[in-house]
Amino acid sequence: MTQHSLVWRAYFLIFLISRVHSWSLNKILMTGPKFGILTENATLLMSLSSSHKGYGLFMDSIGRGAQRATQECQYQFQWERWNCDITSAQLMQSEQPRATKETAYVQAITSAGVMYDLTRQCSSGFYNVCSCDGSKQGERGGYDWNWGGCSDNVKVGEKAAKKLLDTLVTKRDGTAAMHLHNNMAGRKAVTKTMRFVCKCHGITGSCSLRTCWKELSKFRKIGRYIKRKYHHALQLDWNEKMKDENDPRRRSLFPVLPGSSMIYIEKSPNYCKANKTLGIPGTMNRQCSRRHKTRKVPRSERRSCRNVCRECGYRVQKTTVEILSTCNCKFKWCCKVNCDTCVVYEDRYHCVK
Amino acid sequence: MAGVVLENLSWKKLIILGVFLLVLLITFFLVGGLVAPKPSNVVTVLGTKCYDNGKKLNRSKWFVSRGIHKCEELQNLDPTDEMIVNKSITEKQVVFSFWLPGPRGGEERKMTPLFQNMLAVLQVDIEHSDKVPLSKNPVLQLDVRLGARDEGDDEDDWKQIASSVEDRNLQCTLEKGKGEGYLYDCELLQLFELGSISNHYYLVNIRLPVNFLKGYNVGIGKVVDISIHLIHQNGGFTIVWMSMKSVLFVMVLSLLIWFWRRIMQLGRPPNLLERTLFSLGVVMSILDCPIELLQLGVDIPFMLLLNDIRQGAFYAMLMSFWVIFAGEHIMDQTERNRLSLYWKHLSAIIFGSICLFVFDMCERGIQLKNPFFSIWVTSAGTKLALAFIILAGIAAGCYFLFLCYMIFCVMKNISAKKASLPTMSQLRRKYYLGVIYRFRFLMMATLVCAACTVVFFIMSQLNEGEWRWGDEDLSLEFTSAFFTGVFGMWNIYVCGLLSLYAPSHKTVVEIDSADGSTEENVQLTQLPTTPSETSALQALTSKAAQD
Repeated sequence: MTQHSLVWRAYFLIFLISRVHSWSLNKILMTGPKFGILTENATLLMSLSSSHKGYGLFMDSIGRGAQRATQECQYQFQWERWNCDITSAQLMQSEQPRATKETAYVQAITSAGVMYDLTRQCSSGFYNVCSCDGSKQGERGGYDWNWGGCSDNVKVGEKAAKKLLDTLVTKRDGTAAMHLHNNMAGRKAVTKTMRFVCKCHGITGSCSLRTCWKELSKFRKIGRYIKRKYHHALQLDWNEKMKDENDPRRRSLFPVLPGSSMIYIEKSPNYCKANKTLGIPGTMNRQCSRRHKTRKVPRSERRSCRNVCRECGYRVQKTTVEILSTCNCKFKWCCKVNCDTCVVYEDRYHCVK
Repeated sequence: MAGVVLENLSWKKLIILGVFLLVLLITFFLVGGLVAPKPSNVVTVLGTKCYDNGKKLNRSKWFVSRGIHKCEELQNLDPTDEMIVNKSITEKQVVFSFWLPGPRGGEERKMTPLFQNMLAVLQVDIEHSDKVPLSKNPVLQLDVRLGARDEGDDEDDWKQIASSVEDRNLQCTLEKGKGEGYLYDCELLQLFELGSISNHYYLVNIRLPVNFLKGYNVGIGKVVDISIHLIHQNGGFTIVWMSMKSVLFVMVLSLLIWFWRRIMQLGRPPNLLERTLFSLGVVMSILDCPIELLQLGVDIPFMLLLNDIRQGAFYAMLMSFWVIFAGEHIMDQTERNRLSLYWKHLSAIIFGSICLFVFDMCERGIQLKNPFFSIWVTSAGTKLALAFIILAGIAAGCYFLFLCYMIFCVMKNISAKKASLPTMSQLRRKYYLGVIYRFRFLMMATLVCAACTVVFFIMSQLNEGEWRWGDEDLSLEFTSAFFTGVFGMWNIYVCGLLSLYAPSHKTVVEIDSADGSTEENVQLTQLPTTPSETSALQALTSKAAQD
């Protein structure tokens, strides 16, 4: 019975996407913090991708991209007041899409995640969307494969991600404009963090012949880059006049802003105190870190107890817990790991009243 | 040496010729920059992790990453993954499969012989985990097979090209303070190099066999993904390059014939410099000869090696020419015109060339047998390769010291001669002025060409690097322009030498009509001369007598 309803729900979703032209996805993506739903549905849809190729291709990528983005977001905001708990049930209740800085981060990292996944898919070779346009820019038609090869996988990923996510934004207001811009910021984060790799292959291996290409950097680095942009996000003064005169779907709406900067409209709410109507759980009972400075600890983690607990008016309570952990592991590639179980005592810090 | 065309050419004609050659050079540069695409293209293919469900290790089976014979794919290799646990998959059952090149726009792309050659490098993604750290200097052992298939063939009909078990040293670093799940930054590993492309599709299957006793693949950490970067020459670049080579080949060859006929007309055996210049022309035309075109019809795997040899021969010949040219213009008392006088310089060149040749044979020669071979992967091989390269470097250093010394001698003599020029007779002054002019002209031309090469090279390297020229939409392909421009420039250099340093008819006529012997004898008795000048003059008169 449950199996049946699951399949039915999935078909309904496909129907929705095809009919209403991405109404649901739009909604989900627009509201940022609610995109946990998307991950859920997309994983559901993955199984159907073989029978419905057209949607499956995109759904797979959106699903995996969003999943990757969620993980990254939660990692990056582990020690912040807003801890990117975008899958929590309370948040989904809030109907109003809030155009805050945090939403901007989620939008950007989702866009980056989808682009990252599309690029990877393009590389792994079973992706039909991966087109072959000329690698030479500024020339109509470009080259064909035999003449000058196809364009970079990353460029293809960027294009596809733009097409995919930007067409989902159908509204024409401030939030939509912000969403589009943050999508771009996410894509730019992927391209700007790319690594440049070269290989020399001239006569006797010398560098008289050298070929270089750009390579996706690790997603963690992208997440960190976007977080830096989040700290320097710009607040946009949106007024209704702009809506009438300009088409917010165009990139040139914010020509003065650099493409990689993030924008938001509303001020962030106070994440310290729980607020049911806004769906904020508050920082009460949250964990913070007092890791010793033996290793290089990131700033947000070092400041976490002050930032998450004390500045919110809570006390930090230390508890020592006994945890069973694995140790003395012996690993055999690919898939076998034999470990002993050890008991470790760990200090934990929580925010309490 | 008798008078050459250069000395008897009027300024007007010289400038016209210079402008013509300059225009030619700019044309080559622009053809490379505007018509040709980038010299090479990179295709990145992420490996598909195939599950080999056979009970026994079956090395003859191909695992294909897509199409109707697609293998059973593993989503990830995590020890906790459901499929891995359920089927208790071991490393023997995991095959990384790569179908080269990747599909684009919904259809399979084919390799063509136009791509000339391809080089595959491996990128290994290793996830960091405190529990399974990377050992010190880990060695990755790859059990690798390369197969190929054509478009019309049966989808399952992959023919094996090569198979080997190869060791590669992993060099990975991790950013400080990064924890679980971070990926190491690993250096690229060379996988294989093919000197000819005769099939449409290539398939690479890689296994990582683990053997605790022998220590294979033990400390390699959590290898989660492997991708291949395939570098191949672009078809468009091949076409442009071949057309350019054909044009240059015809040009150099016709000039060479003209040059030789000029010498034949002299009615005397050609002197050393003329013979050297002729050989330079011959080597240049061999380098220009577009034999790569044969690859479009026939499979020639040794083309890379042949190209290296042709290029090396040209460099060696050019260096020999410089030395002999400088030597023949020293203007001291020694009677030169003999190759044996240059044995020091030439042996340095030959020694250096042989070193590089042996090295190249070790690398590309063995690659003909085993495309996965690379001399750099083993420490002994690296030492050997470095030894050859260092020896070649020392030889090159010696050569340049000799050459610089020789040029220094020439310069010294030139200034000495210049000081005494006004006191000389008409004929001798003309002779020395001619020698000085010829030398200076070649020196200038050579320096300009060398400087241009260096500047272009640096520019192309910078342009390739992270620092780019202006806009990304810039439609000038600088790397291609560099190759066509520099190649064209050295061709033009050789052409210029062949045409300007060919023996001049005018001089021959003048000397014949000058009623030389008596006049020179008179001059000899009239002028107080230093010994060196006398001997030089004697050389001149003897040559005149020969004529």
